[in-house]
Parts: sequence; C-alpha cells; structure tokens
Amino acid sequence: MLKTIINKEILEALLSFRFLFGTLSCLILIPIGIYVNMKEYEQRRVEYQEIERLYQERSAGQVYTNFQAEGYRPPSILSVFSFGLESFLPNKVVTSENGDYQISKEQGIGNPESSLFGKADFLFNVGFIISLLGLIFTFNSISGEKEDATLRLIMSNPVPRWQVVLAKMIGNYVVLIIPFLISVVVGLILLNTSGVVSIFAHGLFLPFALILLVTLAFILAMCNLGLLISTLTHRSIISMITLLFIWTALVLSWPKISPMIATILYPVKPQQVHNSEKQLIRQNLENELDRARRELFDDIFTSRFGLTFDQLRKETTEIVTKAKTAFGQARATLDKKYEERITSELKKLDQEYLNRRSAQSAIARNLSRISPVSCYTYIVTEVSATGILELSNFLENSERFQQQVKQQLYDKSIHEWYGPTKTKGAWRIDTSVPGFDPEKQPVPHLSYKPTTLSRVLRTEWIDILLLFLFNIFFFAASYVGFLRYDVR
Amino acid sequence: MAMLNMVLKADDLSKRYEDGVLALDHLNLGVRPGEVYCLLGANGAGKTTTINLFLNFIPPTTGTCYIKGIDVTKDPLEAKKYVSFVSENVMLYGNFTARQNLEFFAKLGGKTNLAKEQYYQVMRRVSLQEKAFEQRVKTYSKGMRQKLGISIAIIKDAPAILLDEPTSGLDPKAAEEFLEILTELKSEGKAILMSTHDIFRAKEIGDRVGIMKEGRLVMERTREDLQFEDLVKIYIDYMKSEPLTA
Repeated sequence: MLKTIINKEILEALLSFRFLFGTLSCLILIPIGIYVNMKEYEQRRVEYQEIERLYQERSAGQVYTNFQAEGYRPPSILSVFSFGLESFLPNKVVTSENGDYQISKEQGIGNPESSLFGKADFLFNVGFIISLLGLIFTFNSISGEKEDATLRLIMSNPVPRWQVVLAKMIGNYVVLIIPFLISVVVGLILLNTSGVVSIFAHGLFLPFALILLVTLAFILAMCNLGLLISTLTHRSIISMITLLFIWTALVLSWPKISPMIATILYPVKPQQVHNSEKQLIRQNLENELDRARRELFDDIFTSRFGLTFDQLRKETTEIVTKAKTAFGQARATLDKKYEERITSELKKLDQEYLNRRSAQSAIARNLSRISPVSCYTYIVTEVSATGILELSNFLENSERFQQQVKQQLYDKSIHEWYGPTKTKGAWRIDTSVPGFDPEKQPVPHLSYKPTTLSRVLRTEWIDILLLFLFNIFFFAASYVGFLRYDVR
Repeated sequence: MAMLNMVLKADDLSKRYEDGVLALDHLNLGVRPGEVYCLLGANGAGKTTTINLFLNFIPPTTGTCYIKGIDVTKDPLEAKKYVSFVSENVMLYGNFTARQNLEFFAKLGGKTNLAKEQYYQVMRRVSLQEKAFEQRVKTYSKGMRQKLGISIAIIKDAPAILLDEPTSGLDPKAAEEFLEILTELKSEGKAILMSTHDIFRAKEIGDRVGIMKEGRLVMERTREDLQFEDLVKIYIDYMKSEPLTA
C-alpha cells in the first residue's frame, strides 16, 4: 500500500510543472554555482601563491632578529561550496618581537556587486532555492488533495493515515532529490575535470560527504515543513501563503535578526576600541617600566657604585664594567618581569574581549538555531572552513607562527643598552647570538593548519542533531496533524 | 426490519458537530445484499453525513456503523475493505490517464497485479470510450469522470457501495447509463446506499427509499409500497411540513 502511494506521488510529481521547474533550477544553478566558485577559488589561490612568493622574495637575506614575519592563510578548497565569511576572515598575520602580532585582512581584487548581493554558491542555492523547492513540492500534498476531493477517495480505502503521510514525504522528497543529486554530480564532474579541485583527493572526500549528508537532511526538513503546513490547512492557496511567510521568516529574516537581538541583549565594544585600550595599557606599563629602570639606574650606578653618567659612557675601568654587569643583570630581570606583565595583562584583556564576543556570538547562534537554515549554514560553512570556527583557527595558527618566529629569530637577539631609560639618553648595542647569520636564515613561512573535521564535528554536532530533530518534529507533527485531519 | 443480513447497517447513529448542529439524529437503517437503498432529502438533511460516518471520515456522537458486521469506528481499515465509494463530483488525478487512476485506486482497494486489459474491461463495462482509456482525466467531462468513478468502485469488487449524489449534474442520458450500471451491480449482489435529490430515479432504482429531514429518517418505503403511493407527493409533503422538534 505504501509503495503504491509513493509511486503515485512520484508519478504525479513527475508529471507536474513544478518538477520541470525544480529540475531546471537544480541543473542550472548548482553546477554553475560550483563552477563559478571554483574559478574564484582558483583566482584566490593564485593570489595567495603570488603574495607568498613576493613576501619570500623581498625578505630573502634580510631576516634579522627583529624581522616582522608575514604569514598568509591559504583559501579553503571547500570554499567552492560555501564562500561563507571568506570576505571578512583575516588572512594575514605579522609577527612582532614584542609578542604582539597583528592580524589583518589582505584585500584581493573583489567584485563589489558580489558583496552587495552575496555569492550564489552551493550553500546559497540549497539554503534559498532548494529549500523553497522543498516547500513548493509539498505545500499542497495534503491540502491540495483535500481541495481536489481525491483525499476522500483515497481514505475510503483501507489505507492507514501514517502511510499516506509517509508516502507523500518519501515521494516528493525522492522527486526533488533526484534532479538535485544529478546536478551535484554534474558540478563535481566540472570540479574534477577542471584540475583545480579533486573532491576525491585525500582529506576532501569526508568533509564533502558530510556536507552532502546534512544537505539531504536539510532538504528533507524543508519537505517535512511543507508537509506539516499542508496537514494544518485545507486549501492550497492558504498553504502556499502560510509557507511563503514561514520561509521568509526562517530563511530571510530570522538568521539576520538573531545577531541584531544578540547585539542589543549583550553589547560588546568594537574591535577598534579594544585595540585602543590595549595600546593604552601597553603605554602605561612601558612608562612604568621606564620609571623603574630610571630608579634602577640611579640605584646601581649612582648610589651603589657612585658613578656619573659621563664616567659610565667614557670610562672602561673595572668599576664601570662591574657596574654595567650589575645593571645589565638587574635590568634584564626587570625587563623580563615587565615583559611578562605586559603580555599577561594584554592577554587577559584579549581573553575578556574574546569571551564577551563569544558570549554574544553564542546568543546569536542559539537564537538563530530556531531556523533549520541557520543550522545548515553553520554546518556547511564550518566544514568548508569559511565559518566562525575558522577565525579561532586562524588565531591559533597566528599564535603558533609567532612562537615559531620567536624561536627562530627573536630569541636569538641580544639587546644591551645602558642609560636611565631605553629611549632617552641611553646607548644600546643590538647583537645576536654567535653564529646567527640573517642572510642564511630562511624566511619564516606560516604552514597553515586547517581546522580538522573532528574539531568541526565537536563544534557542530548540535546543529547536525538539530537538523535531524527538525525532521523528526516536522514529520511527527504532520502525522499528528493528519490524524486529526478532516478529509471530507 | 430484520437487520441480521445487512451489509450496511446504521445503529442508532447520531452526529452532532462541534458548532452544536445536530446533523444526524438516531438513524437506524440497513442495506441487504442485492439491494439499492436511496436516501432522499433536502440539503443538510443528513444524507452525506451518513455516508461520511460509514466511511469513518467523521466519528459518530452516538451509535454505530457496521459494514459486513464490522464496527467502522473500532476497525475502520478492516471495514473499508468491504466498501466502495463514489462521490458527487468524482475528482481524480488530472495528469493521470483513466487507466492510471483506475490502477492506483484498484491497488489501494487491494486489487494488485491486474493486467492492463482487466482495467480496460472495467472501463468498457461502464461504457467509457476506448480512446479515452489512455487519455488524461483532466480532459474528461463530468459524465466520463462519474463513469470512471463507478469503474473504480467496480474494480474493488466490494460487497457494499456508497454513492453520494452520483447523478447530480449529469445529463439525462449519462444519468440513465449510470443507473443501468447500478442495476447490474445490484444484480451481482452488491448492497448499495445512494444519497440523491432525484426522486424519479430513486423510485426507479431503489428497492427501498428513505426520506431524511433534519437528521432524522422520517419515512421509509419499499419498492412494493411505492407502487401504490406517490413518492413525489410524499416527499414534498415532508419537505413542507413543520420543522421537527429536537
């Protein structure tokens, strides 16, 4: 019986205009979306390689111990499916001897229109177009049959109601999924023949399989939502209007409104203000350090050894050497203490800021998860390494790069200086450890570690679970709705 | 009335809707094998409600419907195996051909694995033109759809048939053809319950005729009774009479 109704649903859908419309939409939009994004990825990859090459060329032979190394984030291969936050994610880090590395976004040659209207990538095509198709395929599956009075004829036969609902879900889903999968295969063939990306390459297949799996679950959720509304209404036009309203709310409005609500509920100061605060703290601590150094200078040279500044500069007597050694040791201890303090204070400030940002982001995420589109977007962007997680990953890579450069270069520097302050009236000798040759040093290169799939799953399990729960809820509600449905 | 041999049986059946309207008031009726029972009555008299109750589309407020002795409310799926239904406006799947529609509903009715020719035979039996068998139903006239509707009922081969104003809107020739088919089904032993406004055809085909008013069966006559009585006059008299009190 179930098979009979499924076959009927499939045949009915195949003969309908919406199938033609859906098939054409899938076959045109999905492969084109993948192809265009593949070309964009290719361009961004070339830009990345070029910028890396130029950096290597201009830095070769000049890698001193205070060298400001540059690291670049390569574009994510899976961004061919989801461009995500690629336009906003930082892609450059510049290390600093004082430990305060800077991250920024190196702007490529962009098309302003594409930023204005967004990218028609795989994520957009599924989240907007296919989700709408899911509703178009199911919006009148029950209410339309009621209106056409065919439901009475079906229900005059010994057919359990659960079979009717299940068959409608399966039948319409199958008819939508087949052209969708064909279009995905066409897109993959385009990708593989391009030579730019091979989806079957090591490390890409599993993330892609996950993207495909959640996409199928998402489309099913939208079909189930359509079915649900169909069991709650008795006229096709009412079903359609209701679903359009719900689709607009879930797809267009709520994901955009959620971050706005989060901003109101939990305000966080802008990044620029935070950076200014950091600068101020650094400045205050450095001033304090200067004062401490002056006191140390007076204490050691004047009070303890009874030397004048001129004697210190001009004489090379034993007492001067002894005083210099004593000052050098005490200053190094003081500098280290302050360096640790500055690092600790700034890190604390950064952490507090990140915590507030994370809290705001968590509110926005949790609010937006009411919509299956939001859950789907989070999963696909994170798997594609173009989501919010990628920002954390980039910061971790930057931190690692800073440490790498510190070990390679900054730890090799020796700064000796004498005077009441580092900047005023002091003379300094900057050297490096014996054997250090800047001309022979390799230019530091950031070996970017992408986010692992297991980490994505640890973050995104909630959205994957929610997508499956949306399916269960929508279908169960459809079933309950149809149990109470007046088929007359 | 001996109710033992009834294929269709309504036992003290009442239906009050959520808005308080009493659509059916303690109805008792039964239809035997090979019998056509015609329910006459104005709009809102309770004819369609009776059929809806037999099909378990709505639950009764009190009383019970039986199809072949099976309580429709308690075991609707089992009861529906033994009943076919033809509505006032047979609306089928417009993009399907007549044969595809017939095949689908035959399978729902439990008739699987029928050959194409068997579907054609049933359609020939209801006098559908051969060229229409593989035509899309959206091109069909109402008369053709009604014939296809009765062919769906025939192919299920259920012992009971419920017809809800099946000749309404048909031209006289089509209505006549329709009744001929019903006569054949009757001769095959089917128990037929038909609601209708058509007094003349009810008298022509009905073995028993019941008149409903405000949810009550106010009169029942056999074919023999009607040889000596004027059904039209009886009907009009009932319609003109004072409203019944609850």
